[in-house]
Amino acid sequence: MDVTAVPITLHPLAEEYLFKHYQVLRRIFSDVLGHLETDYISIALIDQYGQLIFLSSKPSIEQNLIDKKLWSLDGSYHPDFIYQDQPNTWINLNCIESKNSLYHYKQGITGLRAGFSMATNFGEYRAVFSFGLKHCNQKVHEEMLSKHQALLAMGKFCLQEIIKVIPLPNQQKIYKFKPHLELVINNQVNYEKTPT
Amino acid sequence: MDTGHYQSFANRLIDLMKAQGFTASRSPNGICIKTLAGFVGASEQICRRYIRGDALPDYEKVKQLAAHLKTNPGWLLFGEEGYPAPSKNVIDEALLHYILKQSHHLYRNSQGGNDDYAEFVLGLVRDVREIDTSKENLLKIIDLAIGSISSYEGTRNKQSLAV
Repeated sequence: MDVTAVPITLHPLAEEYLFKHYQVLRRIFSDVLGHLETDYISIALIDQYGQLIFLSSKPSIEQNLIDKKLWSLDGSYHPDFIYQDQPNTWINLNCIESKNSLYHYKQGITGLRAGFSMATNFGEYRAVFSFGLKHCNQKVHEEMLSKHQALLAMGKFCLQEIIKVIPLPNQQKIYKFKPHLELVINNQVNYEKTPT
Repeated sequence: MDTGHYQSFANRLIDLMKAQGFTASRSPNGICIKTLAGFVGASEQICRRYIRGDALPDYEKVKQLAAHLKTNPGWLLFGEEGYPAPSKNVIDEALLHYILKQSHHLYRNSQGGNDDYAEFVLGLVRDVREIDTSKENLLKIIDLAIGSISSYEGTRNKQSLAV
């Protein structure tokens, strides 16, 4: 099966999950933030149905991406990126049409100078780990890309800690149906007419 | 006539510059182009294109512009016309009051004490300040985040009992 053909959708609980476990996530991420120059870590988990949830050290970023419907324009959450293993910078991943809006909500408001994303398998999920830096120059930028295995290990450590305490939404496709009303007339009886 | 691709950005910029008195009576839009050029460090020619809605400054220039006009760059880029420009990096006092009122009692029996509480509130205030959504939505987010304290304390207690 061509997994890239499965469209990526937001899990119905994705928005609620951002802040439902705010305190636990804050604690877990704060143990590693600062190492390897990182100021922001976000984990996007994509299940086999292509449903995505976010676990973030700064959920305000993902809240804005969801609220402004920008997450689907973010190259980090595009199937072409999710189902491959090479790290890439945010600047390379953002398409021209949404470049300004994504920059504003991911970096402009937060003061993150640069960011990287990388995708890998995690159990039954595909996981996209994103890392943001507040202090970055060309040298740091190159070093970060070369240290992507260390960053990945850090991200996986956080995810392992998270799943020890937070139940992930179960992997069942949740369909959203629109309510449908149908008029049923119970007392209508079609009598056979006998010719007189 | 309003025909530029970036006309809504241009309208917000013109309104804000006029409101702050950066006007020139001889300019077609009533805006002092020279001042605008000074704010963004660009030529007067390109600034006329911004005002006509024919061009959009790059993000760094929008940030400079927002700093000079004491607004937030997000409002300049995506704000709704007719709604006032928000002031920069402030949290609504009513929201801060709501966060403190709803959260303080949850930390009374916390093992971490006052430091934990202060860190939690500060973190939540920073996050809430950066979220660009309706006030109703912000209240729901605050409720969810505050609710997470109880579940965190529950998990911590279970872990300490297990040890």
